[in-house]
Parts: sequence; structure tokens; C-alpha cells
Amino acid sequence: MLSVDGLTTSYGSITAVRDVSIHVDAGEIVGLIGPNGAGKSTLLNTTVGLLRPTAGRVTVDDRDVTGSSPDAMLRLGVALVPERRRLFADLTVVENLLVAGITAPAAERQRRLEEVVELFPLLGRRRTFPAGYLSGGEAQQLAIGRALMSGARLLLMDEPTLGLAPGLVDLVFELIEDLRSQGRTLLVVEQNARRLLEAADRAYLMRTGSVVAEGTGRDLADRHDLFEVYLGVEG
Amino acid sequence: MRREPLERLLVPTGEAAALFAILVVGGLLYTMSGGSARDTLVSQMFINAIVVVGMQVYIGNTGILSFGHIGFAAIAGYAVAIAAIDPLFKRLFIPEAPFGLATVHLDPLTATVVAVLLVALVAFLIGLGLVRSGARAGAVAPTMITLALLFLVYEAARNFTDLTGGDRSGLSFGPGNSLEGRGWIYVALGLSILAARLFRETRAGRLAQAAREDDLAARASGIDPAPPQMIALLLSVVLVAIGASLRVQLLGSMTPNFFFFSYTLLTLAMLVVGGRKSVTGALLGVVVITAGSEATRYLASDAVSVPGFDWLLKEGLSDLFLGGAMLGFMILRPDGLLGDRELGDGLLLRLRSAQPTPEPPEAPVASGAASTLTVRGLSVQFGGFLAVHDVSLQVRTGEVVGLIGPNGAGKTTLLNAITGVVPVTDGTVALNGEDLTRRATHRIARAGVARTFQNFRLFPSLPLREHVDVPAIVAERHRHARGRDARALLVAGDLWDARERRARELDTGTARRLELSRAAALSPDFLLLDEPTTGMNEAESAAMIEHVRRIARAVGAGVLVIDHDLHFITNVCDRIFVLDQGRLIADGTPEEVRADPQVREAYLGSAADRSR
Amino acid sequence: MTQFVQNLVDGLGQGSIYALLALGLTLIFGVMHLVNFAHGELITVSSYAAYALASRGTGWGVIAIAVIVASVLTAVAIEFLAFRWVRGASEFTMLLTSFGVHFVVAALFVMYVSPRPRNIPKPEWIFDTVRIGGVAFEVVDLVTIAVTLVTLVATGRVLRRTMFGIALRAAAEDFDAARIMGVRSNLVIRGAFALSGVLAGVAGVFWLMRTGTASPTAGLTPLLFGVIAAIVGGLGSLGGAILGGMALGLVQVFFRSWLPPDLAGLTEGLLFVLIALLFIVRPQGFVTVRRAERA
Repeated sequence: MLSVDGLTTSYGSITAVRDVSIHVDAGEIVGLIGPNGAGKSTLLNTTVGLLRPTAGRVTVDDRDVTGSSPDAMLRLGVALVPERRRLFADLTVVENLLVAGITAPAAERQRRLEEVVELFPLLGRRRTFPAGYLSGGEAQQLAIGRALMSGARLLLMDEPTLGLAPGLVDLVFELIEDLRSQGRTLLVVEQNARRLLEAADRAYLMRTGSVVAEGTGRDLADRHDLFEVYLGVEG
Repeated sequence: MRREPLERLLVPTGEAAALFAILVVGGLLYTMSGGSARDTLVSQMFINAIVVVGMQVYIGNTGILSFGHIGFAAIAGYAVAIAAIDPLFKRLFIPEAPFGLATVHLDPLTATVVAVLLVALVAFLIGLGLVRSGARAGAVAPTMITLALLFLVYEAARNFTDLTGGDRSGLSFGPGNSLEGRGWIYVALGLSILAARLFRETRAGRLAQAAREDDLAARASGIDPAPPQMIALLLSVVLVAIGASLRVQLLGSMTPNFFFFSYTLLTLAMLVVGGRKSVTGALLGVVVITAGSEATRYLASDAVSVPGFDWLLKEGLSDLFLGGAMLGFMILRPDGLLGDRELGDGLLLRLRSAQPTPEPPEAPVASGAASTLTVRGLSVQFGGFLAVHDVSLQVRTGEVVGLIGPNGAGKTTLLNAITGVVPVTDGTVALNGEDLTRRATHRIARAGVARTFQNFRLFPSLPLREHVDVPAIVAERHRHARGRDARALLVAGDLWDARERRARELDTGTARRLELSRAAALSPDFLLLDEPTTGMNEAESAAMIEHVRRIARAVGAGVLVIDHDLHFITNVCDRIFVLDQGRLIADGTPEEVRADPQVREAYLGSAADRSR
Repeated sequence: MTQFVQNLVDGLGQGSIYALLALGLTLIFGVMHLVNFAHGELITVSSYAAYALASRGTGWGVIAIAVIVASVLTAVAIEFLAFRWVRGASEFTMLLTSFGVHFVVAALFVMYVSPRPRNIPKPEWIFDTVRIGGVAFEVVDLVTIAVTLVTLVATGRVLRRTMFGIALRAAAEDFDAARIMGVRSNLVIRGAFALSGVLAGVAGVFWLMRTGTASPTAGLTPLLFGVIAAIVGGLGSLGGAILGGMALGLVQVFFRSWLPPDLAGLTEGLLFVLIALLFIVRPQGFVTVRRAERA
């Protein structure tokens, strides 16, 4: 469904992503793990059109979409749930959800809104709260709710458990499973590598801008040298 | 070091002389082929040059957009007019002038001196206000404050008619020009160009430029931008006042509109079109705009008719030209025609390239006991979010300590708290017992704690050598580091060959090494490095290990380094602290830390069946 | 006491104009990080539209509509011709760009209309007063306040109930996050300018009614007060902009009434002293702009 070939992204003089190729098939949960500075966020941001790659291609359903704008990608069904959620703190919960559905016609947007509220009753009770007052768990629900509002078939999630207490981490991974069972495809970047490897069908390990290991979730999780490869300690 | 006087004094002086000569000769040639109208035009151009060069001293060196310089000019203009006009004529305009000013009669030179002093005093007060408002390049507050000054002076001039003659009559020098010949204009022009050009090379000028490029990085290098900015302001208003005095004498009269919006537009356009960061640029802008202005004025006058274009050639065309030039340049070439290049840059480059490579730095003589940086119970809270919780650690000179942890662990926040970039909620930071908590960033740097930045913050338009020379200035004054050759740090960082290149052209590896050398140039006791290998490839990271060790040894500093590249950290550090979710969870030797299961879990996370 | 209440209403009437201008400026700042010194051109252009119609004897009802339309068109044109090219540039560049636009527009009017100010006949009721509770109020103040309230309420509805308004507020808070959600940056920015045009148009109607002048620099003074009010309000807060505008109007009127008559002309000057002091003491304005949460 999604294919990234030889992608390189630089900004200023920093080459954050170097010749990276990954693919995500429909219905999969694909994980992207690696230490900070590995380029994982940059890879997601480039895929979704926030950054322009200096080389390489992004393909969605066999269509070359390299360099498309974020709203064009949304229309193709590819949505990003950004790192640290980036909710609009001054807007209410409902307004945050509505904005996320802006690419849809009004009736469809309303329908999705009702779906999201049904899935997250907590959000329904907090409709008119400014998003800045939500707790961590509620905020994460809102973030995922926004991704659903976009009607996306492919969700790119950037560190969805960042800053959340352990109990909420479980919740997030449950939601990720739910999303998959609804027929969506997910590419998830996570700090919590072990949890992600348990949940993912396949995963890539990135370090200093390149993919250094890949395989099924189980294969990578079972590697005894995972820590070493993860942090680049040889020997 | 002996070449310094040659570069920083002789070449700029020669440059200033050359620029002066070009202007004067060009002006004379132009005047000779025309009548008295050309004569006046050239005189006006020279006077505008004095004013614009004065503005360049402040706006160009500090990056702060001031609209008030023409307000200062207005004050000076009125001071000169009121003091120097013959009382015989003065009482026609301002017979009721307070303080007996109607009878005062100073010669123009003395009047100018009085005006300069007055303006300097006002500028000093305004300058204090600017500092208080946090003036730095790109800030809005100083623009508003100086704009307020411009309007205030204008309104006051229109209102206090007893003193100024207001709008209706203004002030006049009486028949005949008060300014005899161009002698004084030449003197003032020559001195202004020289002063402005030399200021760029003085310590104050160079510190101001560093702060202009990046305020935070400058502070982290020990620079307090306020005094250099104040000096720049004072020098600039002196020059502007002199120019204003000459302008009033040339025009022979003074009204509030002489130094208001349209003169502001004219002088600003001249400054930005040529390139506000250099004196040559400012002068080029003066010439270009004067020529363009005159051409458009001529074309729009009744004397000229160009078939097919008469719809364009109407009164007001020169204002359109000015506004259009300003607009066009901001869109297409915001740094102006010359950017920050000066006339003598080519010569300077050749001189500097001929410099011999300095010796690599040796370890300093042990000047005293080792220093200790102690962090005790440090906590940092942002709103409801506790980024750093009760962290204690210690670094001694001579050792290299690592700080690692997964994303969001609070490492950079910890560094920012130690260096005064974010406020400390609880706990202390001390250097040899001296409490550094809650001190201003530049004071912490001067105390001996230097740093680099995660997204490196260089001085984009300054050359590499300036990146080490400027902290060396601070080091000389505040760190008792006389005679230490900062240039040697460039060699140590493999940067010597690139020393004349501008920092914005660098690739990541070079940029990071430069940041390291810059921090070391402060002769600090401690180097705090924030992810110095991010963005580097494997080879560069490996080389960085040696760089860090070498530089740290060269200045005898202790190092605290944050990074994610564990290969780098393991090989460069003696001890490692591990942070997770704002708390210290482990510390020890690299081997101990690598084997620690808590550390592994922090990085890789825990499996689902172990959740509580 | 009577004097006080009259000054209050007078100040609010004046302040309403500033509030509308400040609001427009804050909207633009929110999405572009630009203090738009060319905002005054909207009033300058409208002043000539008003003059053209008034000299034909058109009533102020039609003139008001023309002023608003002219204001919106000018705002969008300026964005399209000038500001579009400097998005993301340094503040220095953007400030000078807006100044450049100001001077270009003023010059165009000098060239193609006339440098001399033209007179716009004021509506007949401009000097009428009405007595409420024994106190005489100027009708123009009451009308200004009333219309401004309606405009602010309407703007509030647009910002809160329409997708455009929500998208605009989202973009003003976090431009990139809004793009991630699919908000089209071009439309948002152009919309912000258009909306600011409507607000400036309403303000312009009352400003022109009071001053009765069309000139190349007609927009300069209201611009200045609008900018000051916006910055006083903190430059990011819409509520702050409105408060800032009202406060400025009140201060101006009370200053003028307290100063001895021979210093009355210095009102503007003293106002500027006050402004300068404000920026020295509290450069971030009076209303704290809430930033997005860190977590």
C-alpha cells in the first residue's frame, strides 16, 4: 500500500534520512524503532508531505505521490498523528476533531464525528473542553480521534505513547489493534520498542538516518543483541 | 597575532579612505558638468550618506530595526536651528522661546556639539529602555519604541510652537545659505565613514554582530548584548546628529516634516538596498537610491515627456520608486546588493589566507586546583509537566561524563537549566561552591560553563574564525585567558582551512566541530555538549571521539556530553549517567551501564506481560 | 460625573475603531507572524472609494458597503502581490516589506489621484446628540459602539462556528499542525486577510465619518493606533486585541480631557510616551498568550 524507495531528506545541512526504503502492505501494523535522531520522525514527516525529500520516491497504491502536500495525502487516505500529538490547545475537543475532518464534505465529517464519539465516549463528555486542559490519556484519545476524522486508511503514528503513564500505554496499544481490526493500516514509530515489536507484524530498525535491521516483529524482538544494534554499540 | 592590527585597523582605514575618495571624486565630476542644482544634490547626497552610515552602525551591527533614528535627527536639527540661527531672524519665528533661547547665538560647530550631546543623552535613556524590553534582532518591541520616539518628536515639534515655530513657520536661517562651501560636509563624511567602518572591527561591534546572528548562542558564549548595543546606539546617533545638523544648515530651515516619515523612508531604503550589514553597502545604497530618485524625479517633471509612458511619469514617481525599491529588495534580496561585504574584503581575504597555520594547542599549564560542577536535586517544571526530577550529578575538570536516556527523558532540559536557558524550579547548580542557579546565561558562561546546542546555533553570516575569536574576547576579559590563541582551536577541530567560510555554508559534521571549538574558545572549565554527533555519519561520529578528547584536553575542561550514539558515548566517557522520564536511573562506567537491565528497559521498553 | 460618563462613551466609541483594526492585525499576525504596517492602506483606499461616491451624492449606507468591499479587496490584493512572497522570512524583512507596501500605495495615490486631501461630506447626523438619563451622548459614538459589537459578535460566530474560522484559529495556534490536519495554508492566509479587511472596513466607515478626509496618508494614524492596540493586547490574543483597542480609545479621550487646553495637541505625543513606556516595562503586552501544552 505504501512504498518508500531510496528516500533522502535533508534540511539545512543535516541529512536526517539517508536512502531509506520501506514498505507497508494493507492491513499490516509495521513498526519503526530506533534511538532518537535516527530519522524516524523525519521519515514520517516526509512521507506525509510536510518535508520535501531531496531524493527518492513515495508511492501510495502504486501512485507516485512524492512531494504531495499534506492535504493531498489526506485525500488519498494517509494521515499523520504527530509526535507529541500537537493538539490545538485553545480549540475545544470538538473543534480539534472538526479541523481534522476538514478535507471531507460536511455531512461525511459529521458522520465521522459521531463515530469517533461513539468509540471514545470520554471525548464525547468533554466536547467543549479546550484541548489544553485534557489529561495525557484523554489527549491521546483525541489525537487518535483526529486521525480517524481524516478517514485515513493508512495511519502514520509518531510516538503515540510518549509521555503517557504505563497504564495508558496499554490503552494505546489496544487502540492500535482496534484500528487494525477496523481495516486500517498502521506505520508506528515508538520509543517503547519491545511493546511495539510484540504488536507489529513487521518492523524496521533505524539508526543515524538509515535502516540497519528489519524483519518480523518476533524476529527482531528475539534478537539477543537488540540493545547493541539499537544503540550502535559494536562488539 | 601581530597581524591583527594590520587587518583590523589599517585595511579598514584604507577602505574608508578609498570609499571617501570615490564619493568625493564622483561627486565633483558630476557637479562639474552641471549647475548649482547638481551641487546641492551632491551635497545632499553626502549628508544623507552621513545619516545612513550612522543608521548602519546601529541597525546593521545589531540587527534591530529602529525607526527612531530620524527622530534623533529631528532633535538634533532643532537644537542646531534654535541655537545657531541669528537672533535677528530667530525672533521672527520664535520670539517667545523659553529659557531665553531667542537671544542665544552659537556658531554652527558649537551648536552641533550641543546637539550631539543632547541627542546622546536621549539615546542613552532610550537605549536603557530598549535593553529592558529585550531588544534583539527581529524583535518588535524596539521597533515600536523607536517608532513612538519618531512620532513623539514630530508631535512635540508641531505643538511647542514657542520653541520650534511648529508647522506654520518653522525656523529659518535667513537669506543665503548658512553652510558655506562643502568643507564641513567633507570632514563629517570622511570621519563618519571611518568611524562606522572601524566600529565593525571593534570589540563592541563584533560582539554586537555575534548577538545579531544568534542572541542565545552569543549569550551562551558569555556575551551580554546590552553594552555593545548601547555603544552602537550612541555612536550611531552621534553620526546621525551630525548629519542632521548639516542638513538643516544646507536647507537653511527646519520644520517638523523635514525629519519624519518621508526622510525615514528615504534613509531606510538607502540602507537596505545596498546592504545594511556593511558600510560599503550602505554607501552604495545611498548612491543607487539618490541616482534612482533623481532620475525618477527628472522623468516625472514637466521638462520630460516620454511617449507611451506619460501615465507613469507623474509627480510621486520617486516615492513609488523608493517604496518599490524597498519592497522589491525585501522580496528578492533582503540582504541588499552587497550583503555584508566591504570594499576591502578581497584584500583582507588574501592577507588572512597567507597566515601561517598556528600550532595545535597544548594542554594548559595546571593553573590551579581542579574545578567541580555540582548539580544537586535539580528539578524543572513546565506548567504541570515535570521535565526533570531531583537530579544530582557531578563533573570534574579532566573527566568526560556522559548523559544518556531515551527520547523525552529531560537531558536537554537539564542542560538548559544548568546554563540558565530555562528556569530552575528546585535544586542548585554550583561551580566550586559558587552558586550558579538562576543566573543569567551569559554570566554562567563567563563563570566557566560553555555549551553546544542540539540543533546547532552558529553565527550564520560570520566566518568560522570569528566563531572562536569572539568568545576569546570574552575569555580575555572574564576568564583570565590572556595570550591563548583561539585560532589553535580551529586547527584542533580540523577547521583551519575553512576559516574564512561563512558558517551558514557548512555541513553538519563541520558545523558541530565548529560549535565545539567555539565553546572551547571561552576557556571554560566545563563543556556541556548537547548531542554533538546527531546528523553525523558513522565515520564522522568516530572521529568526533578524538575531537572531543583533544579539545577538552587543550583547554583543561571537564565535559558533560549528551548523545544517543552509544558507540560514541562508550568510547569518549569515563562515567555515564542515565536519565529516564526526568529521573536519574543509573550511573557508572560504560560497561556497568550497558549491562544494567534498568537501562535496557528504559531504552527498549518493557514487554506487555510485565505491565502492572 | 456627567463628564466622566461622556468621556467613557466617547472613549469606547473611539476605542471600537481601534479594537476592530487591532483584531484584524492580530489575525494576520497569528497566521503569518507579521505585524502588518500596510493595514492602514485598507482605509486609505476606502477613503477614496468613499470620496468618489460621496461626491456623487450617494448616501452613507451605500458608502459604508463600498468602504467594506474596497477594504476586503485591497487586503487580499496586498497579500497576493506582496506578502505571499515573504512568508517565512525574517521579522526584519517582513516588517520592511509591509512598510514598503505602505509607501508604494501612498505613492500610487499621489500619482494617480492627488496628493491633496479630498473632503468627504460627513453624514448629517454626525453632530447630533441624544440625551439618556440626563447625559448628552454623541450619536456617532453610540452607533459606532453598537455596530462594533455586532461586528465582533458576528466575527466570533465566524471564528467559532464555521470551518473556516476553526481552521483559521488552528492555523494561528500551530501552522504546521494545521497543515498536517489538511488545512490549506494559502486559503487560510488569504482568508485571514479578507476577514481583517472586513474588520478594517467597518472601522474605516466610522473613521472616515469622523475625519471626513480622503488622502494618501489617511490610513496612517488609524494604523498606528491599531498596531499599538494589537501589541498592547499581546499580539496573539484576539480578546487582548479588543481590550487593547478599547483601552487605547479610553486613554486617548481621557488624556485629552485632562490636559490643559494649550497642551491638548500633545495628546498624541503623550500617548506615544505611554506606549514607549509600555513596551519597555512589558514588551509582551498585557494579555498572556497561552502556548500549546508541552506534553
